[in-house]
Amino acid sequence: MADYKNNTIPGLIGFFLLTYGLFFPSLSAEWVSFIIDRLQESMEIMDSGQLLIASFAYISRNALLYFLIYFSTLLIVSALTKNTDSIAFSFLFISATLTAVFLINEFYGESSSYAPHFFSLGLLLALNSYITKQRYYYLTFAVILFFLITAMQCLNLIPLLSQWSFGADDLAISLKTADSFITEDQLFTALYFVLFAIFFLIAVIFALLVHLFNIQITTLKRFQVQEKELKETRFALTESKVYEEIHSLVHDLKTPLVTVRGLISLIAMKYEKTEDKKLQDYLTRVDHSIDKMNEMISEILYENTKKEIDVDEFLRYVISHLVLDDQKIRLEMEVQENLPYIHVNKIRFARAIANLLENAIISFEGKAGFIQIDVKKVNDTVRFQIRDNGPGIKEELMQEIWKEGFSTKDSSGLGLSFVKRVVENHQGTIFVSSTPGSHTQMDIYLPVSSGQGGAFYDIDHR
Amino acid sequence: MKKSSAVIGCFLAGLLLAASPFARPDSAASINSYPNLPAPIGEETILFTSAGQAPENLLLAKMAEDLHLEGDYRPRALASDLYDYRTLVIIVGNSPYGLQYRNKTFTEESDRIKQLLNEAELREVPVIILHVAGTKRQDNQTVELIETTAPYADYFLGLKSISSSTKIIESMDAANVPVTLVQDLEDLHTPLNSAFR
Repeated sequence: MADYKNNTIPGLIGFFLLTYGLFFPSLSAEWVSFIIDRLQESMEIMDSGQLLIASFAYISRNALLYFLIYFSTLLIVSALTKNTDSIAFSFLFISATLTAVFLINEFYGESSSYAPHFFSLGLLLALNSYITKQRYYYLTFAVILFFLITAMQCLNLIPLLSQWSFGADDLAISLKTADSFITEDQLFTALYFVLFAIFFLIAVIFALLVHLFNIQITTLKRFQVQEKELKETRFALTESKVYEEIHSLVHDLKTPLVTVRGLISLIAMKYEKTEDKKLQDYLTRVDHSIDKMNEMISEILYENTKKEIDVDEFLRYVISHLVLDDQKIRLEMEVQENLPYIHVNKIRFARAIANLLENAIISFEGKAGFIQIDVKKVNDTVRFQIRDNGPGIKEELMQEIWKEGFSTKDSSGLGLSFVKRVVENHQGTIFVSSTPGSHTQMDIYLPVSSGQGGAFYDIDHR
Repeated sequence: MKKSSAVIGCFLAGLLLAASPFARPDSAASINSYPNLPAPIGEETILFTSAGQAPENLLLAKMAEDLHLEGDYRPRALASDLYDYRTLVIIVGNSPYGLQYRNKTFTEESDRIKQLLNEAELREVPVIILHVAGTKRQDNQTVELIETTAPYADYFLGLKSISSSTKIIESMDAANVPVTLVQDLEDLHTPLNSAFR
């Protein structure tokens, strides 16, 4: 749709300008009368000042006429080819412009010579190759075209170039003949060589400046991308170091745990024959806790350490870690009966679900709201659906939320990227849908058996 | 095909078109031209008029003034105006904008000139033809006007640069009109003066 608009509007403007340009010689009859009046007056009183006024009026009129023609054909052709840097564009532009010039010659007898138009088109296309990737392309082209067309009109009034087919149109011939009569060609030769040089150099310098500016902007953008990549790499490095340290810390917990377990075994042996039932019970519970802690450490250290777990028990474990005091949030939980066991790394998967719930809680910013947890079997998967009526996620941020480092709360920004990684590690899929001001919904599908499902994620912004 | 081929093509086409006038045969060698007339052919008072209404045709009036020739520059003079004059001088140069400026068509202009020439022939008034724009104004309509005037002309004055125009020279040659070609406009004063004094 945007592409359609981008091409149609310049095309329509071009068509309008071309129509105006084709009728311009008729519409500028008074302008021509002014030129003829000044020209005849200059010859009557032998006044080169009047001749200059006539020649300036001629240059202005012709510059405007050919500006309209060249610019309108550019707009139409660029709308048709959609690429101003292609060979098709170049040849179509040349053909369209020469056709328009031919029509003007046929209707009004403006100029019988096409050589200056070929030179103008050659120069324009040469300069065009430096500005095609410009943001304000049409404006830049219009400025260059204005100076170049004006320069070429100056060439039309240089008597020396008459034999090279320049200035073959009706008014230029009259002006040059009058100049030859009044100043013996000296005025126009000197003045219009200088003016041509000035306008031509301005056009070239402007095109080169725009080109250099464009290069500078491109380089700047490349630096910005590199800087962003560097930032991301630094962040990943820091994160990796943090994980490494946590990993070694957790690993170090194993040594004192072994010691504790050994000491507990010794205590159990020493009081084996005691009849203190309470002490026996305490020792057994400590031993179980050590087992559990050992298991947890293994799950933290080894991602692929998974076990079968009941969904109800898993959710209770997750909820027990949530801090809902001082919150005006209603937490609703609905778990389908007779759900199959899920095969997960309990610690990591619980952390992932807890992350989603914590995000929802934080999004309320102390205001009232509800969070619904709905778990049920969908085909060969167990679906964990977490829905809240918080402020939602803005449309422009939907693509960003999965990236590491993304956060709107000045946090580490590891939340959702971690969730995604954990879900993928369980061959699951995650979907997020959100309507700003209404709700956010996260759906995690976990295969019932570990061999099923593929890791992917998607965004559905409603 | 490279993108630069369009640019190169434009420059080549432009160069070929710009150089094309140099390829025309120069008929200067075949012209039997005079530096000026050996004896005057015209008498004052003179009717100066324009054929084709090119704005630069006005310079004839200025030249006549410089030479103190007695006469009037009347760009739209009719056959009926000739009764008061003893020589007709026509400066030829057709201009579409000049005709538009005078609210005339080329056909009307051509008819006016034909009637004026017929009247001049009837009255035995000498006719002098001038063409002052050289190669710059050699379009078909200007050549047509020159061809119209040639059979009635007694003398032709022009710039040397028109010698490359075969049609103009041929039409004057066919009508046995003495031709004087000069380098610059300023040089026209002498042969024009010699036609009267």
